Amino acid sequence: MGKHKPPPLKEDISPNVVPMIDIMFLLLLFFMLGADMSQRESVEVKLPIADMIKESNIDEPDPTTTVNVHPAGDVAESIINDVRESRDAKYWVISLRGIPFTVEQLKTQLKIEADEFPEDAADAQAGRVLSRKKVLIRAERNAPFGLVQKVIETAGAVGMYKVEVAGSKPTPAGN
Amino acid sequence: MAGGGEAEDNPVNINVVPMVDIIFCLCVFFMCSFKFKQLEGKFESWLPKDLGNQTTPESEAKEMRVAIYWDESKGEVVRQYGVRYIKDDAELETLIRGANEDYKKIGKNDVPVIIDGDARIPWDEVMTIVNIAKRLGIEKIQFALGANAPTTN
Repeated sequence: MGKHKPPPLKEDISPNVVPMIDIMFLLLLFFMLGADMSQRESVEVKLPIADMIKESNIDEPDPTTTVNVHPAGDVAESIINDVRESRDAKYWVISLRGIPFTVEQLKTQLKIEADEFPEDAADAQAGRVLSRKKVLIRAERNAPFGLVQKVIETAGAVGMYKVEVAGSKPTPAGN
Repeated sequence: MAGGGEAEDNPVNINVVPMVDIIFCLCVFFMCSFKFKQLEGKFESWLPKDLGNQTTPESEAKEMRVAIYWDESKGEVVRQYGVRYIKDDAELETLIRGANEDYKKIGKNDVPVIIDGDARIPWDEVMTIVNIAKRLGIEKIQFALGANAPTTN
């Protein structure tokens, strides 16, 4: 009798795709949330480059109102990028949570927001109760300084003296 | 799967390949449309509490004033430190550093940098000076509101 030859083994090589699907779902969730919820308060603004800026601290105790100074919607990018042209205030908009405001409207709105968070006691120097709410000004690089001045002035007038100005860290590409 | 023969035990065999394809497509779509948030930061610039607009008293006349204005004839931004025209950021930084050290030698540690800017200059120019002042450790930075182009000699 010849030797018994065993039958060839059948290899089961079907991959387990369940972990991969889990990872894909997580990635999907991450990108969906990241894409949608990133910028509610702020519109897209090309901020001035500054290497000395402090990174925003999420755990800051005082609330912040963000005021954006950015190009009006219908203005061509060529105008905004040309310093000679873009100096005119008519090409720019002051906005809060995506809603454009005139300086007078901004004053009214900031007054409402300032009054929501008063400091504990009246300030002796100011002779009134100031607001502990901060104002973060996010102004585009080429925005005229005059508009930013107006926002600062308005914030000061309604008692919001904690003013911050936003910049962006330089990137290796230099922009 | 581990025991083999699962296909025979479970007659409902779900084909996951189309689902994986769809998830991959969605993932690629979101990755492409995702904008990485610009790394932002801020400078704190607390305003004076008495409404913000002040005239500088004579006793506090020590200052490092940088004037920035738009030169219509040249069509460019001009920066001056005192009466001196500034060519670049390095020159301005050197001048402010020197002045700050001189003030410190006579015990004036709190001399402000005053940015005296024309309302129509780009905001970027102002931030550049704020950045230089911060780099030199100067915390007191003031904005002169409503400045006009200075008369030059």
